[in-house]
Amino acid sequence: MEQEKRRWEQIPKINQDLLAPLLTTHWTYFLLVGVLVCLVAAGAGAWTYQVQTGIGQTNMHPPIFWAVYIASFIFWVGASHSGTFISGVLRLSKAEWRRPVTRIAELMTFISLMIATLFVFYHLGRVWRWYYLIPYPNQRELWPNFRSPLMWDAIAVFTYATASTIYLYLPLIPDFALLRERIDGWRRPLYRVLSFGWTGTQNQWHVLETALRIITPLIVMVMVSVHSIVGWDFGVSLVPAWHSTIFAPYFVVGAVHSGVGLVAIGLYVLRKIYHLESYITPEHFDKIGKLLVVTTLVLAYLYFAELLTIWYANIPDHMWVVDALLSGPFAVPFWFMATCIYIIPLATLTSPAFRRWPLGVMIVGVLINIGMYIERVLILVPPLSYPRLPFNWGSYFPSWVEMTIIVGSLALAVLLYALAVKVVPVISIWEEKEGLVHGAHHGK
Amino acid sequence: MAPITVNEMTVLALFEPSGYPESLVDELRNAGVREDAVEVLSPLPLHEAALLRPARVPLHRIAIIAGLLGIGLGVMVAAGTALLYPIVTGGKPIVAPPVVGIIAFEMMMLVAIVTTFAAMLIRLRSESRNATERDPRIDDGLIEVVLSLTHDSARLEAVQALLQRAGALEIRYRHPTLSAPHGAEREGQATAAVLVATSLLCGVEACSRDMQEQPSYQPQEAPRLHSPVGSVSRDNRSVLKPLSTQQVFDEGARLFRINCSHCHGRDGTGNGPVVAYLKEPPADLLAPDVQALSEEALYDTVTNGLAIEGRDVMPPFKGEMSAEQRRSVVAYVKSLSQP
Repeated sequence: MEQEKRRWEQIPKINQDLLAPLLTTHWTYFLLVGVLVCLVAAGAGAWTYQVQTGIGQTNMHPPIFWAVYIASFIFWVGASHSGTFISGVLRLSKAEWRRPVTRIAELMTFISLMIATLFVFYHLGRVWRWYYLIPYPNQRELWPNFRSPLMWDAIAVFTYATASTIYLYLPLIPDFALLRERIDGWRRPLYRVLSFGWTGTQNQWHVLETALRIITPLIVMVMVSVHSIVGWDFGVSLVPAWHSTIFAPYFVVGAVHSGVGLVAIGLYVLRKIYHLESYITPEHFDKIGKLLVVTTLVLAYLYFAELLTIWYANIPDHMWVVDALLSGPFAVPFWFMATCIYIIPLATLTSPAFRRWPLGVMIVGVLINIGMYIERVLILVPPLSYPRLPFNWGSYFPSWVEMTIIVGSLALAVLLYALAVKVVPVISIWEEKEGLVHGAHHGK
Repeated sequence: MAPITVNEMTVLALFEPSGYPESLVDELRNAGVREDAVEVLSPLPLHEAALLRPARVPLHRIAIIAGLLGIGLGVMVAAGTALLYPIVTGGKPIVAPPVVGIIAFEMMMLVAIVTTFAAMLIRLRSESRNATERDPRIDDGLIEVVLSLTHDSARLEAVQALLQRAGALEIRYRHPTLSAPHGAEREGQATAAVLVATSLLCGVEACSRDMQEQPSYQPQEAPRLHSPVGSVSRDNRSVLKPLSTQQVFDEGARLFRINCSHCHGRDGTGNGPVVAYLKEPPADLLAPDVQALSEEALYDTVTNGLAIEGRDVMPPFKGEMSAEQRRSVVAYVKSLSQP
């Protein structure tokens, strides 16, 4: 009884700590936003230039018709698996340590998906005709071909984006109600609308928890389906080294790999800036590190299985690609990628002491994401560079327009995150309170 | 929730969570307070269910039904529209079951999640209390009990005594009529504004798109109406140049023999060798109604051909002959009536 009383008494401190990022802003925040806005403007300028002068501003040309834009799309959709995997799976398994992590990860999902969608548009020639892609009865007599995996992709990403927005919003409702009462100014009307009449009656809690219980398993299934379908964009084609049954699970695991890596970065940065050390503890980095070891091992296993099958079959068309990767023109990025996503995580995160070192786990997260980005490019470019008729072989390096757009989009992602931090609490306040009061029953 | 009548009254009591007696609801019930008149507001879900029986929410059922509808929608989109707009691809079925399966799965998830969400929001709204009843101190770790009672002073006193005995930190009374349901009117206005804005946006669809879709003349397009007699084509002013030189006339005659005579005949009376195979007899070029046409009109016919009631009766010659050549043919035709 006395213990429970003490726990309830810590609630005002949780409010104070977790509302602080929304209430106080250091001047460096504005500096960061300024720099990011400049980068985003550069990216927007590059895109405008590309729209005006044509898709030829990219270095894509036959046979390489998919390159960094599509690689970035895959990367960002993959990055979005952070939120759903961490938050969804941990919520399903009722892992107590999820509480300070879920919101950070869900915000990443939401923002990554927006960025991923942008890359679809960057990739379109005559982007102003994009609405041709929408299935609706029209005088053009055009109807999307649903047998195309790109169409499955569009539908899956739309479903995923809608679902993950809902999934981000659901646990935010009680927090918006709190913010409605604690924060003045331009944000208050926003919170009043977003809190949707939340007052915290027991029936409301019950409805919210029921909805979360229903939607969580659904969104985990959607998450698996989304990157499977992205994998099928490649797997169902006949291009050597794409035409493989392993692509769907490989893409899903790869996505979770980079997503969890991103969460490690987000946890570290937000913890450092907003002094959340008492919420995000080395314990959390330990768990994230363990998850990363699992994803590294599974991914390495799938990669090995894929390469072994191709190597043993020794079909020339396929071996051209594999040779180019292992010892040919793509060897340097390939081995750099392998070091970043397999060797370094395994060498470091298997040590319990290392896993409890937040900076270390964050650095590994950064390396994994760099490696996974290269991996996405390497999935696309080498197989396309070696079509079956050798007279048509090609090579590719991104143009400055492509690189500017990529950097601008990364800046946009960070910018959106930085802005989001000022509108929503990065740690779910009510869940943290719930963990404080009820968590003891689960042996926290 | 029952409509609030004037003689109703709200009692708000704040409790320390650790001192909150789990038997309070039972005691209130014994004191004659209906169970649905008691609400407990808290900063986090209180799992000690002794507080209240949670309302039954049919969200699971809604999710399942919505999911089934989603499957139907997916099948309709992936299989139905494939049949409506069949695109033949070598060796591939028009309706491919694995594809229908994938689309149906995504649609099932989409519709189930969105519907569950919408149902939840509606339910949240209906379970909501007036926001002014919510004490901000709840968020700092207090529990608030809200009772809706009829204005009956004896019962009020009993309830108050009960709450005080239970350890209430503070008890307040509110007359619901004193504070009108907050924002209800403004919400109505906001909804109306959104609806009006949406319908205005839909009106954009009806706007003229002439700038975007101009009535330009496409290659291979059937001829349009002839220009009025005496009108001058913007691009072919030179057609009015005198064309009576012998050279032009000879060139016109040569081209007429090559391009026109098999239908219109060597002499232009419409008795060429292929006439027997034509559905529409070719015009007699010597007839007064043809000769009455302006050079411009003749030029237009030679250039674009002729259609009568939508059926092409004469092919266009803009591909066969240059503008210069067509003009010379027109000059020749005009000259046919001259002795």
